[in-house]
Amino acid sequence: MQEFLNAIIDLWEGSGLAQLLNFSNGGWKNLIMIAIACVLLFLAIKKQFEPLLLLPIAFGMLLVNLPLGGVMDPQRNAMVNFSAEELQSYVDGTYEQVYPVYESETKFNYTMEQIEQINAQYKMKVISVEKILNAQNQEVSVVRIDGDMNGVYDEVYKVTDIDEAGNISLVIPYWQHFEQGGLLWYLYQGVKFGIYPPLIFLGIGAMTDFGPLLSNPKSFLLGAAAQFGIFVTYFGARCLNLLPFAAEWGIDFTPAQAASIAIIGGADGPTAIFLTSKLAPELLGAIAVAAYSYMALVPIIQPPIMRALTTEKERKVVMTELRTVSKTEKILFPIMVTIICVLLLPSAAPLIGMLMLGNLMRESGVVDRISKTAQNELMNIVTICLGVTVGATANAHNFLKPTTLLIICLGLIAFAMGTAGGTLLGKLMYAVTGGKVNPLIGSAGVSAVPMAARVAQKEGQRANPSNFLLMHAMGPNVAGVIGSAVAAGVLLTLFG
Amino acid sequence: MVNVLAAEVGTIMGDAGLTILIGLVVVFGVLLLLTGVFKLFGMAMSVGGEKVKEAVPAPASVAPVASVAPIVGNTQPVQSTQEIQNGIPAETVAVISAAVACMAPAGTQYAVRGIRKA
Repeated sequence: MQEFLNAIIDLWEGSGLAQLLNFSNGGWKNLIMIAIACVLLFLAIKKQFEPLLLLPIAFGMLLVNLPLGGVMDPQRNAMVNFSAEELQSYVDGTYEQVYPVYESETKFNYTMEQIEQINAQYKMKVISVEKILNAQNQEVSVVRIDGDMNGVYDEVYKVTDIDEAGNISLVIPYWQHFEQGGLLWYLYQGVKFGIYPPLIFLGIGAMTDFGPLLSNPKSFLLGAAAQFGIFVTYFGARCLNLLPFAAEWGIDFTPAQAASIAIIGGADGPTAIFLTSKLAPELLGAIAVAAYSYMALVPIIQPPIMRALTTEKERKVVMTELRTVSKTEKILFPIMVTIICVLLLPSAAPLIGMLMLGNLMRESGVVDRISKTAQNELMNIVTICLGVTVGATANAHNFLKPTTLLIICLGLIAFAMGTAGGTLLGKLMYAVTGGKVNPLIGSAGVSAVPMAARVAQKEGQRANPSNFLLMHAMGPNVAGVIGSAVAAGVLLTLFG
Repeated sequence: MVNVLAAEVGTIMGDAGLTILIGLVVVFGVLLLLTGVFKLFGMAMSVGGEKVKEAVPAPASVAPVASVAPIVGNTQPVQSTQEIQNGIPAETVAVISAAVACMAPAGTQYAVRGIRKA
């Protein structure tokens, strides 16, 4: 009976539920994170807020916060010392390497007396100091130390030097033993090494028609103005360190962290993830969740700002029809943008390069098959991997901090400032062109494609039902994608 | 103490201000360059296109043809001329007209004046 009870107790103690309910060990934090994940799942499924990304992000968050699941456990590299036989074959050059062999970087310099003292302490004794020739006919010295632990423990070293006084230098060869990591940890390497975001950009490029931008190149400027929020927020994040309670709250944003937070203002999820994974991976969970949440909330965040900054008369402006763009222009566009941007800002090459490659595949019309793959299968696979692993970075330990709340607040400021920047430049264009530009299209420069353009269309039509701004707003919208990639390149160059 | 704090504030503000300046200048600079390049490129393309048009008169099959303008409205038909490119079937014209009619508030009149291939 006692054995049965013990077995049940062991089972309970080894369960995730016991860990979750162990409040003194931080189980409550996991419970909060599980609740947040469930709220995000609700928003994704019921409210359909960016469900393609929010759903995998929320599920990744849920998985990683279930104790002992181990889905995000890193692969561990344990150092295993050589046995006497392995060392012999190693110095002899006949060791068959299953795993990479390393030699400890630290050299141990001992006199023979010291070694004997240590050996006596640990009940070991030096058997011999030998000089042998290895397979390459090089002379190698080996110290053999016989352990006194039932003959199992033989400590061996490779001697690198013996000086005239008899002092010997030793290094410990070892091989690495890999403890397998969790599934999501392996998938996360695509985020860590900045692979997924450019692949997403490849798909975006293959799906995007840059025609509206080409027919009205002034839209590039609106895309640039909407990046205003990024840099203002960087300033704000850095200034937060000066608050009197900053140290108390653990607020100490480094320039790299401030830049990662500020990029939320670009309203471009892949760019935010790309930059954060390079500059401040410890903030990835909070920044990704904030970035995608605000992208989903574009229809709620932007309209009040747009209405506040524009007059009824400005919103009513009907813009003239866009010119037709030739196929040649559309084919040359990605090539020229790549050359110009990458020459000027090499750090933006992964994002801009992949975006433009995808677009060239689309517009050239000669690789229809891979263009469709980039738009559909590849994009979907990468979206799943990206979403679920980014969600998995939001574990309770990293996420439940005062800084997370600040990141979410700063992200909102960045987003709002970006919208304001684009709209204000739109107003300027309205004034300069004598009322030919509707300032509402400037708000679409925040690159949440195509949501921001749709919001501009909706607001324009609200003011004037015969107004069709969608295609005019698509220009700044796709320019915003390029603008945010350029801004990320600037920040990467400055702080990377 | 006050001097140290003031120096720290100055350093942070200075660095952040410089970052804003560099960032905005570079982003605007790159996108301004792209604006200029594609503006010129568009002009060159349109000039080239006009020259081609002058040199080779457009074939009749490509020229827009006038057809009966289906007026979509609840009450009175509105006379208008309509430009529809060759190769666009009448069914497509009807479907587009119907779609516009569905979007129109009741009582208003809409006319589809032109349909061109993208």
